[in-house]
Amino acid sequence: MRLGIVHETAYRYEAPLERSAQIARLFPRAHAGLEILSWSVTRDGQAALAPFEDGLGNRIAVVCAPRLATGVRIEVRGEVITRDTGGRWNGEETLPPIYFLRETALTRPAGGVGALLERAPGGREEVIEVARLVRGRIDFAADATNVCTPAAEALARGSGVCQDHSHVLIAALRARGVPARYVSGYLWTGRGDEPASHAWVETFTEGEWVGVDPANRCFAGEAHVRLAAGLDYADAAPVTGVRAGGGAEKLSVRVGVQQAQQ
Amino acid sequence: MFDEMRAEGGAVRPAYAMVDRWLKATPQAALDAKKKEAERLFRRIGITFAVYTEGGDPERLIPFDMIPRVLGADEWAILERGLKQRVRALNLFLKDIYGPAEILKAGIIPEALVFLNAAFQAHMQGLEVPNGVYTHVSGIDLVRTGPDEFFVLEDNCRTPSGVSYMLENRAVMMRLFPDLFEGGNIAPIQRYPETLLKTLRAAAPRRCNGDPTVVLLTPGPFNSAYYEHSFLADEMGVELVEGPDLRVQDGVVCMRTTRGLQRVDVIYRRIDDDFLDPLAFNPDSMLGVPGLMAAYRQGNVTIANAPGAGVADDKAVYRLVPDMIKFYLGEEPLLKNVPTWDCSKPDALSHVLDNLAELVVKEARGSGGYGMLVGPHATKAEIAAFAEKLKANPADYVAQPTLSLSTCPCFVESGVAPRHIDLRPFVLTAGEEIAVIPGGLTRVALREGSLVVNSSQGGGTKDTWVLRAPSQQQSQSQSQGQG
Repeated sequence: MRLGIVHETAYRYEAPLERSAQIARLFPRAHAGLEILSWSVTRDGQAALAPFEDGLGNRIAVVCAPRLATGVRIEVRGEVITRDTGGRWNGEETLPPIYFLRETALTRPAGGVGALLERAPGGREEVIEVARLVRGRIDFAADATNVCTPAAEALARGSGVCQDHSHVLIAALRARGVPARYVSGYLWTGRGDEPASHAWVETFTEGEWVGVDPANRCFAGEAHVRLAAGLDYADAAPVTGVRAGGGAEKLSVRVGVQQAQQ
Repeated sequence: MFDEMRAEGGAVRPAYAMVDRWLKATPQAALDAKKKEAERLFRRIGITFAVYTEGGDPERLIPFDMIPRVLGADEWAILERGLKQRVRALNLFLKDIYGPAEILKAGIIPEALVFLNAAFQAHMQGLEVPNGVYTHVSGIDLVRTGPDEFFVLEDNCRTPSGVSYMLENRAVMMRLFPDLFEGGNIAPIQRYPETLLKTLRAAAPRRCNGDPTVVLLTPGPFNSAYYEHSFLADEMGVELVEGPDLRVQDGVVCMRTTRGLQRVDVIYRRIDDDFLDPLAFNPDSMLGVPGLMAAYRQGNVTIANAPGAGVADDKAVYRLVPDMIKFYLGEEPLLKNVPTWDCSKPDALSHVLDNLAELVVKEARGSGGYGMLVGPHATKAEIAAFAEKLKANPADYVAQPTLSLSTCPCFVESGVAPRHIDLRPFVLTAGEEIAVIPGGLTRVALREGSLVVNSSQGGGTKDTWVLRAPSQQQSQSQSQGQG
């Protein structure tokens, strides 16, 4: 499937910034399921940012706003071809699967998360089963949680968004000794009114990494464009940063994933 | 029990002949006066040490004992070779685990011990650091139990401290007793800051053009070792900076100066990994430099010691350092390890629980002597309470036999009496060459019978002498004869 992606992240500040630095994990890596025809990431309409590889194998760039800026706008434009690999991710790995058993604040197996699965999934089909199980326990609700909500809290609430589904599934899998990681990327929904920025999970099953999307109860496929992977949201989020000054912040994100003309 | 100065029967060991003559020749009243003067000097220098767990004034003077600890030239020669070997292996280990991980593939060190280790930093993965050096400054803690029995108690590869005490102790001793240092019998250590600066400059990143600019990054005046940070920056003639003094622009680290921004090539950091860069590590930290790790990965700056070097000094990894030496160097370890039980292993745990009264149990990831149990000195209630902690989180602890640490005479209330000591030599490297400063910091457990030498636990320090080999002394006295 040929997809065109437009993703704008715009921050506006009520006062001038003293300084700000952000990590942009906005550069996909080509793999069997993803061919990149064109891709560019710019800040405030300037020259395209040059990415480098972080320790996890993600391609990232650091975005620094000029001093006294009152806004930062990061813009992604790309065109890709996606192919269905049954969720299989075959990109080069920098770390062995065992690294992805580490516990983080967002993926602590507290409050019933650790006991969600009776045992480790036995294979691909059982991975889909556990994704369904998690999805069944957490209804979709856009404003119930935020990016700092730990897995246990999302499970207790019984509502959340894709990152909550992912955190709960990751924590539950790791608690059973199964390596799992958070993936951020884009989703083609076929409809203009659904969020196109998305998160899902990769788990190490039968000797390979397999992308599974608990929110949509499916393997990552033609509709998924993978940007970055890490231990949790904080490790893989498309844009995170720190700043000094600026006062209150207003963030607007606009993402469009369209099926492109051949 | 091994006493450094006297053999059984009271005969003075050869290395201490000079100390013995000095003690005998100096009247008690003169020593008392010198002791007061020493204290005054340290107060004036301002060497204090913040202690976190006690009430009252946290800025306390570390007690200094005037009787030096002495190592003979032959004793030191063995230690020096052993220390170089060990630091070489520790650096090869770090290069390996952040790269091809051969030692894990060979099954010598379990994967979990590295990749699930809290000190492991994924941000270091695949990063080729200059000359493959991760621990530029290492403090290797040694203890002695007999004439030829030296053991490594622990390795320190993160931000080892104490070198300022080593230098100030020597400066004060030379000022109080200049006669002792005449004749050049005692190996000098005063060039440590120069050697450190040379090491840091040699660690400059590949994209540094010309003369590397070095800075010392401190968490600030509230840190317990701030005195040392400012002392070393002064001695090296480099800027002492805090996070907000640095910024990253276009992948390059710059420092604010009165003449505008200046590029920084090497950061001798004395802050923990977590506080280096909020974009890479603890996002809540305001101490760090956002984008620093990105600059590092792009080859624009060197961080010394490297983030993630702590995996090598983890107390559970420590147990395997002799295996590392064999694996990487194909050599037998010259320095012995203390036998260590890794309490995460069920059979080790049950052995440790059965023998708590004889063992020392430490937190696998702690430092500073906090939260440890010295079995033979603990009450039954303390042992029982510790057993519960141990059972709750066995993987957090390692245990070792209680070593009978060597003693060295000290001035105490009642005169001169033996007290237990250890030794922290400092090892510097930026590549092939490894420098060991002759001596190190001798710490002494001033409470009678105590085995805990940490300054946070009431320990003191001594000047540490390494005697020069007769050949070295000869050339020294010859040149003096001509002058």
